[in-house]
Amino acid sequence: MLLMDERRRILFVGGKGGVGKTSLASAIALARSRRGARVLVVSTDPAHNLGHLWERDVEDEPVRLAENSSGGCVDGMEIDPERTIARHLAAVEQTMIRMLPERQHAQAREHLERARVAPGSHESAVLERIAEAAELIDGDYDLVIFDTAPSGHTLRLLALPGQLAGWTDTLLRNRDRSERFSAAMRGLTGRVEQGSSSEAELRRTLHLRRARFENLQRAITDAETCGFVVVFTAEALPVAETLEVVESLNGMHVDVAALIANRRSPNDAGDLLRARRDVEDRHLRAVHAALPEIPVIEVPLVAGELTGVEALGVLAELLQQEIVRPRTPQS
Amino acid sequence: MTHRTAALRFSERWAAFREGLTEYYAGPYRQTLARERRDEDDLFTLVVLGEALGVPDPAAYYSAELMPMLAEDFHAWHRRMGMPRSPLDQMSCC
Amino acid sequence: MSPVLLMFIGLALFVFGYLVYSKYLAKRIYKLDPAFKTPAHELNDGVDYVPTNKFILWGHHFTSVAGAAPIVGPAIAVIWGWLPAFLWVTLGTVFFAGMHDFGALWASTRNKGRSIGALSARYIGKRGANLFLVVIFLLLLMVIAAFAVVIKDLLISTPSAVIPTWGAIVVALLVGVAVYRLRWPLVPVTIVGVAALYALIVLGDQVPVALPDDFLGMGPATFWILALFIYGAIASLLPVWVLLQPRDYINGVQLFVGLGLLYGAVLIATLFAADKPEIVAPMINMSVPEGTPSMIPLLFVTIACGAISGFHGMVSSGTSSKQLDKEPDARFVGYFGAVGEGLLSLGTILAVIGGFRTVAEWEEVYSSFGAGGVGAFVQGGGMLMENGLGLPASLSATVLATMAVLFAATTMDTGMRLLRFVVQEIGDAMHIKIKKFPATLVVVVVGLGLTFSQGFAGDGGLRIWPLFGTTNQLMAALTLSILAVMLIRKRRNALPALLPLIFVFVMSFWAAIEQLASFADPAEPDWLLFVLDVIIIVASIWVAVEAFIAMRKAAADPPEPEDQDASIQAVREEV
Repeated sequence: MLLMDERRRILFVGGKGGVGKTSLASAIALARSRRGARVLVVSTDPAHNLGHLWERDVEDEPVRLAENSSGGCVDGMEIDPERTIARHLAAVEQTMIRMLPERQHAQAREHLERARVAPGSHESAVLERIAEAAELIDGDYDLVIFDTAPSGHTLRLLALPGQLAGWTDTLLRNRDRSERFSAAMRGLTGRVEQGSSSEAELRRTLHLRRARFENLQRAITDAETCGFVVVFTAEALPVAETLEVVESLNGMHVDVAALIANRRSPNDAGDLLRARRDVEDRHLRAVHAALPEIPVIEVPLVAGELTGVEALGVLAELLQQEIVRPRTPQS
Repeated sequence: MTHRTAALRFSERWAAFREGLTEYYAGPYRQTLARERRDEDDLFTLVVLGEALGVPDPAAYYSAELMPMLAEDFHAWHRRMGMPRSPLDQMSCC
Repeated sequence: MSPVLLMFIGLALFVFGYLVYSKYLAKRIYKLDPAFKTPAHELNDGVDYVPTNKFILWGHHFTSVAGAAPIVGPAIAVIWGWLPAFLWVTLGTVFFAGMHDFGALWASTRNKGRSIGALSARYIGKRGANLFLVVIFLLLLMVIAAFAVVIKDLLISTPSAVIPTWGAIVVALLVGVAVYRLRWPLVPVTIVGVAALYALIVLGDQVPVALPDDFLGMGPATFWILALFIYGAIASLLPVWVLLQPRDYINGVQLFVGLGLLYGAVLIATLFAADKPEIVAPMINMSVPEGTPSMIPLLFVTIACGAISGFHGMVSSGTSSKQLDKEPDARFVGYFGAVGEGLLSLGTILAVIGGFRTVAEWEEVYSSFGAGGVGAFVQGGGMLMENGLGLPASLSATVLATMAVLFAATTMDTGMRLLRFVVQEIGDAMHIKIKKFPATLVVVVVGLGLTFSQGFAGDGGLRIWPLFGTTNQLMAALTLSILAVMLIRKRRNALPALLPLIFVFVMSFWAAIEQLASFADPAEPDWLLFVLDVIIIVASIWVAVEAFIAMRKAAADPPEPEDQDASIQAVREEV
């Protein structure tokens, strides 16, 4: 089954607010873990739901959420941008203190405050953590699932690696040109410029950055390894947004692994729900017509609260039954 | 014995000649090249310090990392940019 | 008389000058002190102020000052006979140029490596600095125009030089890429580059390019001049490592090869040739062609570089002084640098008087003032080389023509670049910011204007030459007066500076007046040059007055303590 494909190591689960992303992300995680995989669920949504869903305290570092006998497990993490920024700037501060004389230390700290509150810092911090998490698939985890913020944020976030790779490239090329001039200036009697250690460190930092951005960019555009799952409910607005999101993702060369139509009204629970189901069917036909190549997984409306490991287990079962709507107009 | 020392002397002379030639090539334009290098470096500094100077920088998170390495040349840089006093309240080089 | 005899006399004089006179200057006049901390050490910044080995520094200095001027001047001047030119070149180098270049280097070194402009502010007065800017502007302008004409003439008279000279640009570009981008080792690149150049020369000899009379709607002369200015503009705007730097380098290497060929040819021809070269030119030409100006004073401004040239003072104080390792090196770098140029001029004289077979041949070439110029050098030298080295005359001529064109072209593109800086500096002084492209445009327009003012085929082109010489001497006079003032202040014997100063000033001033008359001549007026001449005359008077005042003041003021120098702000950064 699609989502159980073991080649997929990274999944992004996205969609409009409130459609059940977190639940489904967790369900997918649970399903896979039952097959023996070690899975990490990362919440990038500032309005974190992961903890509430699993009825556990989830923090900025991975926390064990579930284990099972086949060796698989599910860990969860809620990214805290503030904490990430603080850690990052603390490291920078250390470097600054190392390189500046004593009397300027207090000033160095003030200096960094600006970066803390700068617009874009939050997104960069989140991106940083995503990159870190994505790198874990080589060792600690077999699958990393990102429970993302409502669509717009996520799309911007996914475009960042490419943009930032370009940014570091520009700076690196600037350094290259500068270095070429230095080399051209050297001669027998020209004292070699204090080949500053800070210059070397600068380049190292930039290279590391670029490598990270490029790796992330490559990872998310690798159709085999990484996929995006758009969750929606078969209603007008979510459907419209879903189509737009898919278009954007195609533009960014991110593979859309599947669409999940969540909370499908049942056929046999009363007229109201049946009527709703008919409307939903219509929407789903439209989706199929617009996106014939992308598989649509339907998940029925579940009774009761969807919190806690057991409830999530039920959801996981439902997912595995893989109700894929056939491509016939009739239901 | 004499062969080796003669060869050694020759290779030393050759090395000196080669370096002399390099200096002959590089010398006259060293100043011009130094200026161009300085321009590149100044641009770099400007980009990295953008946020601190009040220029919105979406990559401020990453620029911050590069800031410590600019500390050395900062004073000379702001002088060159035509700012007689340090533009950063925090960096009191002068 | 055999040219070899003249060669040895000349060489002997140079040797005497270096061993005896420069030593005297070093000990008694300039008092070089090995313990003195030169600016290269005091202000060492790894960029401008870099202590440099004296041989390399000499190489730089020499190749920057030597160029086409030491060839063009003497080549024209032998119209008055070989003796006057020979004497002016040899004695001028020994007592004037050597002393001047040496002194300029010393003066600048003692003043923290400041340029002549800044020095004139200190020793003559603030107005001196402005004067300097005006003179430099005119000098550079005239160099560019004059050399454009020289090159144009050569390309037309020696069409076999067309391919090598323009191909040399490609060679330089490739060398630049190889050294700067690919970082290949320099020695093999140099060898390949020079070999490529000579291969092009051989090719050019086989494939001469003579433009038809109507090429793209203009005559060949007009076309070449335009092409040269466009080339110069582009070269001066490109990053230096792309074209200018490798160009200068190959040029320098070439210079040594050329000198070697020339002197070698004379020597070998005299020793081994069946048909030994003889000096066919008259010793003193009693029957100069009509229209030739009188030898005195024009001789002294026709040959400037090679006898004494203010331009060198600029180079000495512009860069060489900042790289001097020890003060005593100034003797080698400065004085011997001038001697090197004297060698080039002497070689030219030998070529144009000993290359031709008969007097009649010579007279044909020197049919009027300016007619015998670089062309004579190429032809005469070519024949000498054929005689001595066995290279066919046309190939030899191509070699020399290529050499001369490349020298002139590098001076032209460097000159255009410097002139652009001057234009920008003038703009600064008037509080107008002029950017690179507009400044270059100004240079091209003004340069073309001056060149074409001599006719669209630049026919009257070399009428500028003596004016160029005059301006050059004016700069030399300025430098000499600075030296005189410095010496007077230190209460040392100032005669070695004063006597040349008076001589040069009188001769160039007189020449300027005479040229004024010729530019105003109703038969062939040239109002543009007339105006330029007037400016130069005014500037000369200004220099004279300022210098005189400064010298009197220096004599009246209490003497300067031995080591007191260099504590004053520069008025203006050098070009």
